[in-house]
Amino acid sequence: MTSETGFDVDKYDRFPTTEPRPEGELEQLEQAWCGPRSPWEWITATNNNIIGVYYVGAAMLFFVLAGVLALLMRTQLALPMTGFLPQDTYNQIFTMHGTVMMFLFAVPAVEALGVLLLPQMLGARDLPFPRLGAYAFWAYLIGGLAFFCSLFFGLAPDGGWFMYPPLTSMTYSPGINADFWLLGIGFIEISAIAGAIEIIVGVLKTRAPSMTLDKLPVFAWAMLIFASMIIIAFPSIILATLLLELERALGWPFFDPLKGGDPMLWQHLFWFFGHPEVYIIFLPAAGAMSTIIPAMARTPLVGHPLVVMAMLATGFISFGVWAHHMFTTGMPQISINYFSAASMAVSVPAGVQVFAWIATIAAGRMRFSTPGLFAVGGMVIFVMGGLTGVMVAMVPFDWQAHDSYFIVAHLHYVLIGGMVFPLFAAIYYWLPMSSARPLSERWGKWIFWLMFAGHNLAFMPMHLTGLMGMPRRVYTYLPGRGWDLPNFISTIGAFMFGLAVLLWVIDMIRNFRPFGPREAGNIHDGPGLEWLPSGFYSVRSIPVVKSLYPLWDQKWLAGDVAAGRYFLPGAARGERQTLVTSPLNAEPQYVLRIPRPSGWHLFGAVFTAGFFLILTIQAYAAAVISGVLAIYCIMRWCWFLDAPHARKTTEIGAGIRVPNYVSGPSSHGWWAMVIVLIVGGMVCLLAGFSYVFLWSRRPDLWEAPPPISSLLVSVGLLAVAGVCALAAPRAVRMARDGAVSAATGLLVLASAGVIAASIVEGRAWWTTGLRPEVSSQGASVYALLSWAGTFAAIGGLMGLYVLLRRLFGRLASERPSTVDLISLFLAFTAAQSIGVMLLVRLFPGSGI
Amino acid sequence: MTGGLLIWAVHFIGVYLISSAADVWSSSEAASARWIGLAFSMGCLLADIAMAVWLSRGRREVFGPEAWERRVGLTGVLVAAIGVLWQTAPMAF
Ligand code: HEM
Repeated sequence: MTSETGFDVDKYDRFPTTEPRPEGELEQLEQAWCGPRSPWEWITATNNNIIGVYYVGAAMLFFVLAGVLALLMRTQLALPMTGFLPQDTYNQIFTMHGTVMMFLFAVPAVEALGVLLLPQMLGARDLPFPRLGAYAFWAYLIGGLAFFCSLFFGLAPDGGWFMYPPLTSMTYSPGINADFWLLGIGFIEISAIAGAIEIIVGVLKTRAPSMTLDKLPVFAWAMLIFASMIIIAFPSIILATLLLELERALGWPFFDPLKGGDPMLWQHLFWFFGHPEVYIIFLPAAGAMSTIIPAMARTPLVGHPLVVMAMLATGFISFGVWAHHMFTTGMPQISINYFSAASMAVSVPAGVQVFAWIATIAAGRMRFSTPGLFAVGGMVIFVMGGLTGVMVAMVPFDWQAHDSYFIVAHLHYVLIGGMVFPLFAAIYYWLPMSSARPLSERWGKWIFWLMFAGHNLAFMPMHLTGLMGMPRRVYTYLPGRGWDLPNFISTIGAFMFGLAVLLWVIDMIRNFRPFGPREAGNIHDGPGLEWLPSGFYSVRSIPVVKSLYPLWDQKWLAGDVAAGRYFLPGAARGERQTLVTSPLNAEPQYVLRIPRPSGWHLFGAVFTAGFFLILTIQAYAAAVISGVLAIYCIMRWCWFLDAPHARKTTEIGAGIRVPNYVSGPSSHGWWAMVIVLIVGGMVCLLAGFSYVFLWSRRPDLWEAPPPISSLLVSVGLLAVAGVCALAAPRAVRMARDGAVSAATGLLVLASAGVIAASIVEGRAWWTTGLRPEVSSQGASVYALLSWAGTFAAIGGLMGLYVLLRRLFGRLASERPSTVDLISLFLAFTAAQSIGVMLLVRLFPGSGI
Repeated sequence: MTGGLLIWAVHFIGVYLISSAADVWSSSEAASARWIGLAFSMGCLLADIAMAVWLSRGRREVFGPEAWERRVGLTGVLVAAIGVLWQTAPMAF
């Protein structure tokens, strides 16, 4: 195997080490990673073992809340013409049920599973940005609870989980209900993106040495693809919610056909996010299935490379099928045909995975304890949902079934089989890892059968009611249409499902002992690193991984790891540390110092949530104050990053030393910044698509841009800013006095340049007389400029931040990371602004 | 490793863009649009074949991470080729 970083892989043969470990090493490790000791420390905790449990708990709370809403709906629909729920309330309830299930339960639940399990699975001490993970969790919890509470004030959104305009425009939804959805969901997606960054960098950079891609656990593969998909797909919903909110609050007509807008733009943006969302939910669950089934069948996964390829293929193709939700909107026939073909092609990778699971079950000796039952039950339900999926991928059939209960049945089969059952399998399988007692096996079997039967009773009849013509989203129906009996059966099934969930909650309360002195242990004989003996510090020492199933194939691994015979067996200088490795071959690169908990990420989350929520009720001054406080807290949190190290290197075991600090593309911070910029770039790209799309709808409304002279000024400023930004990392590395000041000066100059260019360009457009509320051109031009302007403003804050660090002596030539990252951001901002300006000036015609 | 799948992604986004652009200027059903789409698809298919040849050349280890990555890459190319062919069908009929 060729080395990726120059690390001599023969050094792995020195492990496990044989000499005795120094006295007090374990105690020092425990001391460094000690758990919280006061209520405040429990709240500000950042350790993934704690945040992961909170996260999973919060997601399950939202599952239960949305489930209660489902039961209310089913009670209303049990018989024809019942008056249990008024029409308005029903509209709010189905919207909240769908929204909470999709945005507050399904995505966060799998993300939570990743935060909880990944470090242990990868042999890391923690994820690389624990405070970012904790920030994402608190933002999600506070934002989610506030969003849910809107229901109690009659302010909940009521336009369905995909919020199509014109129904959600100011004309037809005049209250603030829709704003709750737009701002609430936009915000929660930001927190999902924060989690995704953590997961991508975690999987690529904090794996146990020698855990090459072929030895990467399938669940980690799934989480990597899941998080990458979030990075590509979620910008679309962030942009869509921004545009609709701009239309509602300020009258910018993106979706209003009278002024050149088009509601189809919403559908494109929503489904470019919404369809991958289904796979975003499904992939980690499939990864869990591909982990649980081999463990329960006691045999390796059949076709492991094929399964990984299938997951990758699912990730790619899921972006090519968004318009299959729009077959009935009058798109060109040939486009419909492409999307129909792509939709059918999706079943190929999904089929590969299902066949691999079946083959694994056949090849091994499957144990049908509760996790095994949930895994197999989920597979059966998912395959049934997949079959109706192929049916609705056929356009003529979809024209008939669209917006009927057939679709409600299909989506629940896919989501419950593809995500809820695997999630329960995962909870039953991995719970002994975080609890001193596993859940009851007897109760588990009852719960499974109740859920399985309840699901089929609830949703199977919905295929029939749909084919008999019952539309979705109706709060009642007339008797005598043949819909009464299937609806009644559906309601009975839904309550059986509800009973199963209730029993599970009771069993959790009876048995769950989180953060206890010991864990229940590897009761399933699982083969992954997560089953190594562990504490808050994860593993005692980080092993060399030689197999995809290390605990099955490396006989003495658990004992050697617990005895500290592998990498990083202690906590040098009492610091929390983990090993950073290279992305492909996982070769040791450097030791990452993990920050200790502090309150800033928590305050940051509270004020960020406050900003968005207060904006909803249109108290603008208070929202701005909350926003400023959020920025202050986030800057304080960053202030202590990039601090000096007492030593340059650390001995990580067997005489191997690695640096304590690296910068540039090898560092985890660089990767995170690049991912953030990809998110920003995606929003900008989609905004550019929206601009061209709106032009293609009404080219006659497009006016000439401002004269080219101002463009030359702004592009010139941006070019200078870009050059300054790119020169800063070189300047800071110069081995002479004044290097740090030179780099600071260049960055400040760059940030001033991007701000000045934004002002010049904004003024140029303003003087043409084009206003954002007048036409779709105005709206889309100012939206694009505002996006570029927001980046410029953040660049300005960064300029200020770097200046302050210089003044307080927190910048140094030997620690260039801060300069590198800010330079990356500013160079990107300059390039993005140039792209935006050239687009709006030169397309469709130049203003020369 | 993901080369084949990337070609697939380029193909489905490309054919969608070609038909949308054709719809703005004349009609997505126009023969010229279909020919451009067909030519583009053939290009993608050729790129797929080239990728397969490139992945299969050179040393032939059976074990180890590089062999594994190549195996994943080759099956990805195969699935992508099926996808490209399948999505080209609407253009031909
Ligand atoms: C036993 C559990 C569940 C029951 C009884 C249930 C029931 C329902 C019903 C009756 C509707 C249709 C409302 C209407 O069109 O009038 C609905 C819609 C929906 N459900 Fe569920 N559901 C359950 C679980 C789930 C889960 C686990 C998810 C997602 C992970 C989910 C996601 C949705 C979505 C997205 C909609 C569409 C909402 C809309 O039309 O805007 N449901 N559910």
